[in-house]
Amino acid sequence: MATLAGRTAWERIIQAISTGINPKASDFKMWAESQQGWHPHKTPNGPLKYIDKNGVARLTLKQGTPRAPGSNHPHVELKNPKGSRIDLQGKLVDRKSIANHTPIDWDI
Amino acid sequence: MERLNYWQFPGFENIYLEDSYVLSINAKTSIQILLEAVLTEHHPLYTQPLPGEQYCYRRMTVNFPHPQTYDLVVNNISPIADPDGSIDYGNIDEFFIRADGKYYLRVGEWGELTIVSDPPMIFDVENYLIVRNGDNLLEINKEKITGFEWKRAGKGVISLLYENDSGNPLSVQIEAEKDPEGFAAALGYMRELETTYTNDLTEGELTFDKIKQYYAANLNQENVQGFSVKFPSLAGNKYSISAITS
Repeated sequence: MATLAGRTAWERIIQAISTGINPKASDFKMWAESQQGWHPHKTPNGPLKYIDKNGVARLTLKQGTPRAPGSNHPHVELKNPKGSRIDLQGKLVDRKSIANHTPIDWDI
Repeated sequence: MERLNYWQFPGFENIYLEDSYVLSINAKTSIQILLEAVLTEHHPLYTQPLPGEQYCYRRMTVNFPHPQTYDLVVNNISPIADPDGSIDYGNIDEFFIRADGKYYLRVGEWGELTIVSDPPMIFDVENYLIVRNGDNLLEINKEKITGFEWKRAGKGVISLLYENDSGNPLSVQIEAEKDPEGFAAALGYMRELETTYTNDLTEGELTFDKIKQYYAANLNQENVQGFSVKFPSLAGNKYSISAITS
């Protein structure tokens, strides 16, 4: 069960998407931290992930890198409890699809 | 030098591994990682992303030639299936060489590879066959291949006829025993073998479930949580596999 802060963060994410602006990385972080059984995982240079109790990386926040043109896209990737990739609406998506790379504003 | 990141390696400058997908790992005479690789805009093979796709993707392999040692640690590997049924093993989150000369590679949440080898190389396997020519690897443009001859001598030999960029005829002999990856790739190209990337540890793709089944069937261990593969083993065998149990 998500906390009130987590639910509010999720509402901000959905509102941002519905108004055509990028949701914030900090809202995804707040939402993920409110999920029961999820824990953050980060290696020194790897992305920030939230792993559920079954070892599934449910949320991955990627900053992208300005070192190479074409890869500077902060984005979020989501998985359902079965480990399948999903979009914000919970629909299954392909690994290479735009829907698997939801753009975000990097503010963390 | 504390560490040198992969994009500073020759050939990797315009590859973005953090969003590339690992399709398989092959550990035979060298380590090969098959990728759905992301090419960035300055890569010579870059094209605009296909409709609906995030990046320009291309199938490539990362090869670690002449491995002296490697240590592959795998924990709870679970393939990720796309809606079309194709699978991958996640992204390469980190890849660098440390001050001690060891290459270190982390794949998703499940795998770590530490390896001492010649510098890694990356090849386009959509358009090229990668085969051994003595101690070197040869890239052969598939469009320049003019003929094959497959003999069942020993484990198999394929003579491959092709043209170089100037149109001169060349040939190379691929022996299954000496170059199993090149042989398998050539067979795959000939459409006589559907799966080219296999692992002789599991007689198929390297999956956690297969290792788990092996341990359950042969060693009566049911609680394997991961495994470690060391090459060469201290006992002088080709590999040693040790299980990580809970």
